[in-house]
Amino acid sequence: MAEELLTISDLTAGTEDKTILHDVNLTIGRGESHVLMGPNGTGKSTLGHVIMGDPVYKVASGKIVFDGEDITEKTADKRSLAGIFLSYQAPVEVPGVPLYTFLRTISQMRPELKMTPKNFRKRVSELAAQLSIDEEFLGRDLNVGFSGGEKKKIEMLQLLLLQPKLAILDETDSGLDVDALSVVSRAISSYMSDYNGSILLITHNTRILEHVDVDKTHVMTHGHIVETGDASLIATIEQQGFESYEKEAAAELADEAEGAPEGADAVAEH
Amino acid sequence: MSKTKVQDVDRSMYDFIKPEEGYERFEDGLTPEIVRAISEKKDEPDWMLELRLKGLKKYHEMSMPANWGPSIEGLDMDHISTYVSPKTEQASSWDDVPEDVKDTFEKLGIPEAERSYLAGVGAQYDSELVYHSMQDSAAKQGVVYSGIEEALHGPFEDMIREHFMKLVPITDHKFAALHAAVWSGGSFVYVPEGVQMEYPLQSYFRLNAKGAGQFEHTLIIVEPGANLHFIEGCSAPKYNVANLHAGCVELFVGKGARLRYSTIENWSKNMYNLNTKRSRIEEDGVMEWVSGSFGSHVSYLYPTTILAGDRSSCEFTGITFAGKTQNLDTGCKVILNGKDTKASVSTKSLSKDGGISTFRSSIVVNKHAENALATVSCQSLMIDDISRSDTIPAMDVRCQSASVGHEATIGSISDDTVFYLMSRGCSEDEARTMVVNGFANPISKELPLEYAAEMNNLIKLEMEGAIG
Amino acid sequence: MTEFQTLEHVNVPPAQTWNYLHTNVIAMKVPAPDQVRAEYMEQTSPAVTCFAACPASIDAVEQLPEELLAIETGVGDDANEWIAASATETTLVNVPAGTNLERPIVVDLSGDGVAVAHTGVSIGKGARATIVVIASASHKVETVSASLLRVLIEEDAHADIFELVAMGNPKQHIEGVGIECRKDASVNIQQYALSAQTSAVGLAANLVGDRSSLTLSLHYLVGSQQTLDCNHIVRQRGRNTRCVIDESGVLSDKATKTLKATIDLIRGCKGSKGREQETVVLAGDDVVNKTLPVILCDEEEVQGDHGATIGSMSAEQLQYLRNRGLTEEQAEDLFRHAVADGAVIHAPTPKARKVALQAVAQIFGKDIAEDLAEIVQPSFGFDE
Repeated sequence: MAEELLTISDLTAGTEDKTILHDVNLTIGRGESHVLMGPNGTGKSTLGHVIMGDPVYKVASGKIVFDGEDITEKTADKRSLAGIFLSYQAPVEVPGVPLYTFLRTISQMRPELKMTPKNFRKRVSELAAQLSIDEEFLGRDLNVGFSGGEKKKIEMLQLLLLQPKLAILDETDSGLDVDALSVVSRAISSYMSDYNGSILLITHNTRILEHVDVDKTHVMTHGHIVETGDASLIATIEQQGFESYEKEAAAELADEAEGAPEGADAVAEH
Repeated sequence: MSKTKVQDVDRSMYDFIKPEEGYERFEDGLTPEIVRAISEKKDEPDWMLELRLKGLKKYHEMSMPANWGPSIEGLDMDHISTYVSPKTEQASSWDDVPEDVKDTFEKLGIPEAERSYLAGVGAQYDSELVYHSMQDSAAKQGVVYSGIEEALHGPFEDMIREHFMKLVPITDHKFAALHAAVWSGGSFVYVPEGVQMEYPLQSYFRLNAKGAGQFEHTLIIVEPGANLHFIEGCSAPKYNVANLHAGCVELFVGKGARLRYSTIENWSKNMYNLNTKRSRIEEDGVMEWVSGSFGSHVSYLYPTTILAGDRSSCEFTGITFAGKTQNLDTGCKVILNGKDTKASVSTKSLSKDGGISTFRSSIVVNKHAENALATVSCQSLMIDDISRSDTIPAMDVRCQSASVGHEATIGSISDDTVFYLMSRGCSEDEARTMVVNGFANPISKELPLEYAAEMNNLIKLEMEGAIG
Repeated sequence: MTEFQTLEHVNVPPAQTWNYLHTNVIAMKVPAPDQVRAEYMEQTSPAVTCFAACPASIDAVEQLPEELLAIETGVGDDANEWIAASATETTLVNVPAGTNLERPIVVDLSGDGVAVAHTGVSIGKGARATIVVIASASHKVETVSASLLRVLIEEDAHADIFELVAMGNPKQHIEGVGIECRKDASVNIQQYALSAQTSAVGLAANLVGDRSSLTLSLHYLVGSQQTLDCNHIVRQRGRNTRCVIDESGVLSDKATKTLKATIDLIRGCKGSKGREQETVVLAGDDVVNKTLPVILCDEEEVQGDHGATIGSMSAEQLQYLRNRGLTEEQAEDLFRHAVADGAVIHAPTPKARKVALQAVAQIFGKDIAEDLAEIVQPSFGFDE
């Protein structure tokens, strides 16, 4: 196995009044691609947001080590600078902030990415071309009035610009048409091959996986990782669905001590 | 798509007139003599007479705003009697209330409501309270619920003096000054520290006299940790001359206390409703307003909440339905002064048959209201193309850690929705009524059961009619 | 001695509210018209220009034609009258039907003294034009400038309007615009208010023709002890008209900003939709932000929406920015920079770009301005 990049140990987390993730253990090596699958509402997105440090969620126990450093208590901006990138399922609109200004600001704060204005412009233009983004978008306000596909491409633009060590791609494939899906999927493979990037791809859909070499597949139900396997697990799931895992998890939950937090079925994905 | 034709509202349940024979009625108009006569009649302390005379002076000095608000041209104060009273003493048993007055409140369902779900009832007829009663259990806990004049003659005089027209100063606006001058009737409520009132108290105000004004004053003090639900109801039969309602409500909510104030205002359509309501909330206190405005010819009504204490909060839920000949300018004001204060305002308005409804609000977040949070949501539904619905919300935010969100929408009943419901077997009329009811539902479910039924009934009446 | 007069009612919205809130109007202290004329006469270069080969006619006139004068402006009658009386330069621009103006019509108020321009632009059927108003002044204290622009957009015609207010600190500016859109006409307006001690920006648009449309964005940066009062009025009269307004900005230090935004859905405008959204970031302990977003409606089959987000940025936005490595403070800074950057990005002429970059240099420093000048390529392909 490759050198460890992200190690999650015995992580239990949730919102103030509800535990969503139970005793999650997950290790991602440098340059590896992991897929996290599971039915809707099982806590997959929550895991992505917890790794990123979303303050909506509280870690009850366990820890997250990234690149040799315990980041469990760190705020999201510190984690971002350390090299974690979370691609949103529904990227946030930020009226009043042109995309250009945003990109310049986030790259300027990373010493390793400091570049002259000229090179920055060149770099952004190249990436825009690679992702089939009209340069006119760069003058528009961040994500405001962009279509779903455009927003996802802008997320990929940030991914390639920032070159993080780990990209958590949350339902990056949802709502994309065939063309956009192919652009996004090429961007992911370019991120992995050109920058030795690692990914945690969250999905409940196997379509995008055709373009990505998968090292490991994890299945999550009710906030538990119930199965880990190699790429072949995807095919199994495609045939059988998640039902058998669901039953297993339900049984496991029933075994847990009384008074344990309720199941996470009702948790909305973010 | 064809439109719903709407009928005039059937207000028979409110629209009955009792003779005024034998009533005491003061001359129309506004003079120091009349003010003195009212004061004398009530045998009240000197400070109150002084306040009244000051109010009268202010009233004559002040003018209505020239640049906003519905016209009150039709209101001629020279033809309004400020004091009318049935010849009766205030009773604590319905049996002692004169027959015609008792019959009025029977028709409005007040004694029945009292028996079924209220802890106490006050009933005002024109200028005077005719009935006041409260359950013994509440009285034993030290709760006071009485006429305000009555309380002025007892141990609470000092407390009343300390609070009376302090939240609403007589200089607040022209009709607050008038109120100070000629106020009569209304309730005083005192809930001692920690007392939880299980059942609501209700005051009902009935204005029967033609060409008269009603100027009741409601003063409620909820001490720290206590809890009260107060219901206010009002109605009047319709006349072809102007009537005036210029009441005043002052509410003091102590630390950690909670007060819910529910009103369904259903004045007749000759009424000028220039009412003032204000509350002050101390630390961790909670104020909830539920306000339905259906009646009156012209309304200026903006219940105000001052979130004075840290972590105090308020919710305002309101609905306004303006029909033919109505111009209802309603909304609310919230002033956030304390840290971590929260305000949530949610209103709906409807207008039809040429009615005008205006939602007007102001949210003021002062400099030291750190982390204050305010959200305002107002929705208007257009039912026809001859009516008007305006939304005029002002915000003044001076604290950088505060967060204020506002959203307003105006729209019509979507044809898609009507078609969808019709494809499931509803008539177009039913479909539209269903949409309007659904629109109003979040408000009506906040009301006490009887009032919710009354409101739904009002909406149904407003919407009923043939498809054109 | 300069004689001053006070314009008591500038930027009056169609529906007013409680006077004690001091939101309804702003008063502006300005020199008497005679004085303005005397001072302005000394200046030589005309304010309104286009290019030699421009197919539009640009004429100095005594008074604008009635058709243009009748157009409601956002600043209101007090300011209208003062500007009309003070302007030595009253200019009428006619853009012939069917022409596509390649280069913008520029109203340039970058003199050092009092500069007041009254401009009417008539854009013929099917024509397209860009109009730029630049208000900047470099040094003189007590400088007042004002521009009143009235634009008539005929059937199927289109106008892009770009306004830039970068007056520097001790300066005042009144920026009035009135627009009328005929059938199928459209207008896109970008307003950048970067700095001025006191500025009143008032725009009224009358969407009188069926299917006429308007998009309007205002970006503002109000700092130190500056005051910005803005009044947007859109009257939707024609059937199926469209209006989209976005306002956003940042207040810092002791800034005061008032925004009145009114969407008026007038009986007969069936099928019309109007939307307005404001986002304000408060980044100072002594800022005052007033917002009055009004919808007036007496038509049934319409849709009107208003939204406002005031204060700290939304939790979602902040989290998104943190996820990209920004602290809360840096995120606030980003918003401030963004406003000025936008002016540079969208500047349609070299002069507008220069003024925007100067403002960036003045507010954020020379390095930032140089960096920006390198990164953001001009959106126009010509020199002046």
